[in-house]
Amino acid sequence: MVVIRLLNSFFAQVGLYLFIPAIFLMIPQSLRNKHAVISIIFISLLVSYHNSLPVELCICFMLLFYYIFRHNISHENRQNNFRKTLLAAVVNISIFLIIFLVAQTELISMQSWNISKLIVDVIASTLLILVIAQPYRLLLDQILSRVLKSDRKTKDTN
Amino acid sequence: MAHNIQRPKRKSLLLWGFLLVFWFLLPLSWKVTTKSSFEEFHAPIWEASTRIQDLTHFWGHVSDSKKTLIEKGRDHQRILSDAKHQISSIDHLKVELQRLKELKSQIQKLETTLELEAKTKFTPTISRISLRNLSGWNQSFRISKGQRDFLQVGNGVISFCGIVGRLEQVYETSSQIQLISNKSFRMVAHLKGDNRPVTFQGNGVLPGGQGQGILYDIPADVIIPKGNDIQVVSSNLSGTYPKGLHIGIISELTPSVDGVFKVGKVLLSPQLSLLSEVTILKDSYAK
Repeated sequence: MVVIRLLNSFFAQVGLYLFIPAIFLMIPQSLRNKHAVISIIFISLLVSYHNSLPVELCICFMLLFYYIFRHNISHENRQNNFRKTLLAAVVNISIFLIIFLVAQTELISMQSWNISKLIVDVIASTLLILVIAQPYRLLLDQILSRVLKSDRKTKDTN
Repeated sequence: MAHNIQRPKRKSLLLWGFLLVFWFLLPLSWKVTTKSSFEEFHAPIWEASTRIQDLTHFWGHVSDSKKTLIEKGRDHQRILSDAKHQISSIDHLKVELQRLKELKSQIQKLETTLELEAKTKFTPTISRISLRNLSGWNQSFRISKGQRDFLQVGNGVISFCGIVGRLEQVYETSSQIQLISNKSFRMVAHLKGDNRPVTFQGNGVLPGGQGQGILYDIPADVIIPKGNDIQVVSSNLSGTYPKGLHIGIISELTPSVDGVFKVGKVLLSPQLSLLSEVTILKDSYAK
């Protein structure tokens, strides 16, 4: 998220804003429900901090989308990778639209913004998801396999 | 092929609910403290990113061609000769400085005799921008100076392109600027050449990064001829900015809902999103 924020700082010069919370919903399915919820809440706090969004709103939409799509978006699912990436892009667009609609109502401390900016940002973020989803999934696989290896080693020594 | 699919359990939903309730019940002071410590923890990362940019800039120019180096050397010589010229006219400048000091003391004397309230004075502090945030719902900049440099919440921020915004949050070594294009930014302004106050409010950014605002309470007799525009400048009524600084340009006016005043869209400077340095105006009288 720090990298995305730095990228946003750079692209702000041309008026672009990248917002890709859906990519962080790719949580290993092997995680227990309780742990998955805790990690999603932690991710939501980070998303809220790095994007100046209300915390409650972030927790709600992240958990909602996690529960709906967790079996389809999870990186351990053996579905077609491109389909998973497309799904992540659709989820991201939906999150963008939720924030836009919430901001339009002006019920919480968020300002509404114009639709042309929304379209440009959605297109840029979707393109970024299409580009980075696969490498991100590979990175997660690498981390997970290393964690599992070290876990097995500890069990064997015990 | 059968998949080992886990169904969402009631326990996790309960945990979700419990955590949400817990978050709502947490005292505001605790939330603010946590956020502020998290900001302090992150500040060096943003600062380091600007230093890395400098380093890349330096390494990028190390491999410059001879032609470029000659051109840069020529520019450098020009700057040096200009500096020499300035040094040679130092005596004249000293006389001018003395004259200005005398004028200043005369103004002060007159203000005391007439019992006039002295104008707000500002002490400028220059700072680098370490992070830009131009999302649709919030526009802010982060700078690398904070409480250590005696900055305070509410200090005005300006640059060569006019008003930039005001300090929204001040931490130990960094601060956050609320940009002029932010919807929660409001200030008193003037149309250039007209001393009547009007209200300016930020109105987000356009896809190219150009900020925009709305000007309210414009007197009904103000007319902008087609194809022309009027400059919107700052007012010293708020005490945050000096008078006459550029805010933006307005080219069309429409009657307001009540029909008494006029309203218009203000286009802010396109340079605003490209800034790398800003000047913070500290109030000289503030303790």
